[in-house]
Amino acid sequence: MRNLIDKIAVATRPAYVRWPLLALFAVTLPWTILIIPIYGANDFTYSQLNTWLILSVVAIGLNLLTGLTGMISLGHSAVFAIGAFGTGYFVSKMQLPFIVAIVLAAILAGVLGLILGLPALRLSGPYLAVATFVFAVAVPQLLFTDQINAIFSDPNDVTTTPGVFKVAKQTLPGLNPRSDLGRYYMFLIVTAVMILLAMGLWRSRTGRALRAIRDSETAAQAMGINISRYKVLAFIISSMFAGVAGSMYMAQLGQLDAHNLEFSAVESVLFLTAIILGGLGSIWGSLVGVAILTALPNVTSAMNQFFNDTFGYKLENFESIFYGLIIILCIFYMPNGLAGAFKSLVARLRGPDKLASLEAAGQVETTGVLATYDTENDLPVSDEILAQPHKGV
Amino acid sequence: MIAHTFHLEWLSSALVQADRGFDPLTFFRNVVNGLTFGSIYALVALGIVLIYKSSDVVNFGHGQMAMFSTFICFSLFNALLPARPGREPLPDTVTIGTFLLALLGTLIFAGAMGLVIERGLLRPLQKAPVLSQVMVTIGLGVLLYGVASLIWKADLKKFPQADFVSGPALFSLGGDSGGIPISREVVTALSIGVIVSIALFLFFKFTLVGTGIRAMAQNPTAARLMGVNVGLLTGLTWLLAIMLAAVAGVLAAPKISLSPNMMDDVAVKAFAAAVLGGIGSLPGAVVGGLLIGVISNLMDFYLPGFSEIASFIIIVGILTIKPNGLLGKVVRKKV
Repeated sequence: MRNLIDKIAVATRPAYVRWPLLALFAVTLPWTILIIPIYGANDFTYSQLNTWLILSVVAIGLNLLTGLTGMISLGHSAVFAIGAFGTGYFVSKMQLPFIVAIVLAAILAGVLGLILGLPALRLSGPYLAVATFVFAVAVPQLLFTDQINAIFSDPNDVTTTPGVFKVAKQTLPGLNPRSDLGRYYMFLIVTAVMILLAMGLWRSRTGRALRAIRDSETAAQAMGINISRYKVLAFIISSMFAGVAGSMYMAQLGQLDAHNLEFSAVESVLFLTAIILGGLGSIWGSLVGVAILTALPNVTSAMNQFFNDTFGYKLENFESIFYGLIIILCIFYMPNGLAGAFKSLVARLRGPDKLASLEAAGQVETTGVLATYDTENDLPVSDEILAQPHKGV
Repeated sequence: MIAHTFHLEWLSSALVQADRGFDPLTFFRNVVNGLTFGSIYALVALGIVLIYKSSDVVNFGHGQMAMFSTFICFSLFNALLPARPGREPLPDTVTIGTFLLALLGTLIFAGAMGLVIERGLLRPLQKAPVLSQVMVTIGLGVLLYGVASLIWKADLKKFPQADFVSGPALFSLGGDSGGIPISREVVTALSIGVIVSIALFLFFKFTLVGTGIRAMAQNPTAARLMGVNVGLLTGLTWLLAIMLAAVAGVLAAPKISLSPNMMDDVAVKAFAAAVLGGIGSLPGAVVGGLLIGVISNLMDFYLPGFSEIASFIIIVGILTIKPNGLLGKVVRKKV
């Protein structure tokens, strides 16, 4: 196992790729932190930025699952919802401090990830995707039911409605909890911690084992990697990210009502869209992808306003068209996402030698092949007949 | 300091209620009603299985494709029926001739849509990893959802039934009063399900094209070397699958109203049905569909709100015991 893992470690060390991205981030991050609060000092800007950071944490967690381990989950919106509701319960009903609630929400989400990942022990590919998909639909429906809400509320307490959780809006100590700016700084810290954790996992022994599973399950197993354990572990870790994001969501909103929630499989698709747009396997890409998707509803609502005013025609669910187009176009024309496009652009700028070495390392995009390579189907023989993957029924 | 305890009174009250309210007649009425939706799930699941067998991809946009075809049927009704003043909804029932004409148009559209999707989107990705293919179907589903909302709006719409489907129950099992009424809906849905299943069985067993599709599903390389036109047959399978989805959508729409997300729940249960039966098995899809239909109808009656989580538990439970579904076969993977 060590041999394979070390080989992967050597082959995937993208030192020549990392620094330009880091440089970009080093330039944009202070700009984001300082310039926006100075110029666009209104609550709308901050709430947009906060949404960006919250969804980024989910996307980074999902990227650990899809980009690093090569598994797909359509259940992350459900975990996100449970994280938010768990926080609401821990803070409003159990009177725990918020920082404890975040940790507990992460643990709760981890347990949920265990349940979500259990099918991964026996299932792969289509079965797994279907199981997580059904899970994503089931959990929000469960949250709607009055029976479940009755468990978590006190029938003698007439001031609260079952299924409604109110918490005080949270911020950094010493700052005004009403201000979205303070929350923005708090979220920046939380997001930075989560990014560091994700990067650490990526480079760790566990991360290399997960990548080995992604590249070839059978080969990884032959090298002695305990596939089931690592797969469930990936689900747990990924879900914990979503749980923390749920906590952040609760801190941002201050109130959640189970009866008018929109945590459906559609949100899971949004997370998947974000990581595909940003680039599978790229943490910075996830941040950029989520930023674009967070800004998108503003654009579509402006378009809706325009069409409604000009032609009297409402564009309903208009952003769905964009999500669909982004996914399809990315897979066909930018399969490694913005991160991959940026990578090959830098390589092109640095001359043909660098591009050739990138191509040799398989880092340049090929149409339709997402960054998570499925080497099982990537046969070396290019003959059309032989390149057909074997399908057993 | 935990200032709160769990409240489980509802559980005991639900149990008491179930204990008092349970009688076999109600139970069997619910079973029969579950068969209506069971047939719809089975039709959708059959399409999912067909596509999985031929293209090796789970079509996550299947529900949306069914929904889009149903909207086409809606527009055809609008065109066929005499003009109604203003924005009046469609009537409850239409004559059988109008219904069949609109259905025919819908099937042609659905088949064409299946062919175009296979040719345009899935075939270029044939050699791409499964993740790309699955993501394309998800993206297509979201796109169709958006386009349908754009064209037809997102509100709930009434969708007519054929006149022979509505009306009083055909007969009643076990006495006219107090028996189990067998409604025309159940009979129609079940007979469509049965006819489609038998037709598919005969098609795959006895026709040259059907044998070719089976050969292709088993081993595309060998099938191609034996002269099977794999590309054509994959397209044909998609055509068939989306047509089945359109039929399911037209059957479901009068019961659940027409809207861009009408097929979401149906699709989830159909996925559950396909997985339950073993995702490569056509009889499995039918059995799974009927089972899920009956179980979720019973759950809706006895424990409302828990039918979706029941599907998840059933899937995980069955697959833990039988990883390839009830009727699926074991597949060995090569390195």
